[in-house]
Amino acid sequence: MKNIFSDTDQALIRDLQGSHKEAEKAFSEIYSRYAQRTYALILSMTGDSAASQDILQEVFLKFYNAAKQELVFTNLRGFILMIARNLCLNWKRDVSRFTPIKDLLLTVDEYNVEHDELLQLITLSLDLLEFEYREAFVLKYYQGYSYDEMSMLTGETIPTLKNRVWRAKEQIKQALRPYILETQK
Amino acid sequence: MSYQKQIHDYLSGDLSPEDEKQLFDNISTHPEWQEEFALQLRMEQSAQKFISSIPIPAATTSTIFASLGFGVPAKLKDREARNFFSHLTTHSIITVASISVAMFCLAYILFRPFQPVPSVSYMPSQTALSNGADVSSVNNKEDKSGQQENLGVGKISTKKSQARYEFIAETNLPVIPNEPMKVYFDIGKFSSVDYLTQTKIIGVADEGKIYCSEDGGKSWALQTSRTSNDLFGVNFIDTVNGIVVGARGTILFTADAGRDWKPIQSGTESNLITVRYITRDTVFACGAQGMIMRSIDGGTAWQGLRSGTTASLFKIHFDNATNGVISGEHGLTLQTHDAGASWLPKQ
Repeated sequence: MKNIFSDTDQALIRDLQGSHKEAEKAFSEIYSRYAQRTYALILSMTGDSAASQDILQEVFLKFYNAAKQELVFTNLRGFILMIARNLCLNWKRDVSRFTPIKDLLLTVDEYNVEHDELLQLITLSLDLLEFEYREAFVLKYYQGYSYDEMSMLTGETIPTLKNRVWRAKEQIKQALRPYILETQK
Repeated sequence: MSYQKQIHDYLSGDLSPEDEKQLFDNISTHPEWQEEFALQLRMEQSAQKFISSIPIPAATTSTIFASLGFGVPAKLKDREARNFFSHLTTHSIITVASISVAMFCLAYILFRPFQPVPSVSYMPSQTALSNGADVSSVNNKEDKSGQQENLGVGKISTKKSQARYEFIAETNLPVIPNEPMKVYFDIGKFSSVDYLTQTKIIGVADEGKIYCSEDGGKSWALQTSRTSNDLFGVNFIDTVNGIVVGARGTILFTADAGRDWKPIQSGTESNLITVRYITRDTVFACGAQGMIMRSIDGGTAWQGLRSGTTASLFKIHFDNATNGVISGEHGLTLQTHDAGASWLPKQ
């Protein structure tokens, strides 16, 4: 079991401002805690594997620079995801339309131990959604956030987010309907 | 409101108890409601697997660390290696697994009984537990259903090894016909367990895992916690109302024996290690960096209290509603004589 008395996020941020060795250790721990979740968020929002890797690098460089400048932030996970979300929005602005989600699908297909066909189809269906709906669905079901956390991250009201999650789910279900009918034959 | 939306609201925890009852009455009699319920449940279960299915490419991690002048730590390298081997293992076991699943499905088609009411029950395919105390914390093994038998502190344990147990969720409403849903998970150590009755136990563990046993610990079902933070403490005041605490200020509250765990804003990022009901309304939690928190409304609103220490605090004990002690590392004991408003080291 992991040592439950390990440093809090705030202690790690303080260490980032310390010696090189302290900073390296602290950064490693922070990366270990948040990188995978952040990468999954980026990949599910962009659907582009190469872009996601670039964005992940930029997220952690921006975070590190902010920490070194002793900027004050109380919620580390939220701060990192906020950077990631903003960079995803920039990416979206810079591309004229979403690239096909095949990269994401391939990644899921390649590594998913349980070979969950439904997960692959849901992920494929995300490409059909408007960005706002896609983001709401990803944050709720892929990332497991509460509506309070989603509201803090996106700046949207909870009723708005609930509505988007519901509509996203309905659209995905519509997209999955042929598959469901096929499997029921 | 459409029945699809009602089911969605139920799974989101937004349906009132009255509407829940109405919903399940309808589910029991309408096949299309049953199919919709199974589909939405399956979608949510599949989506929860997403994060673990997306490893970060090793080259990306190396680039990030190198750009900051850091070396990639061993534990991240280990993780990448595990991803690599799990990738290999996936392909090597698929053939065997496919044959097994095909045979299972055939047996399922031929022998499954007709069940008009959808039920999702988790049944271990093997007896999961071995004896031997391996629990960081076991709350008093008391029956909270009103029976007075004091059972003492019991031995509840999982195997020390990374045992893997297969649970099969049985339902007559599979999204993919004739393929029952399967839920796999590893049971590690529990950080803390609490007894709701003589046989009903809830245990918490790392990565947001909450398990419930209805048979005295012989089998365990995973509950939905809506968090991936490590969980360290659990306490129930009766058979339905309970609180779980964990890393980074995590507090979860249930009013239905863990069927639904609601996240509560704690206002702290400190690890919370222990939670304890003092009365039905007054609840204390303590943890790292001298954190003591109190709720006076049964656990929905919390405030931090001055402890005067930065030491980690582990245990809470109250003789009555006014006098209590909290013990921590290095032999530290704090005491209060004013219901927790002030805490001073015990001389």
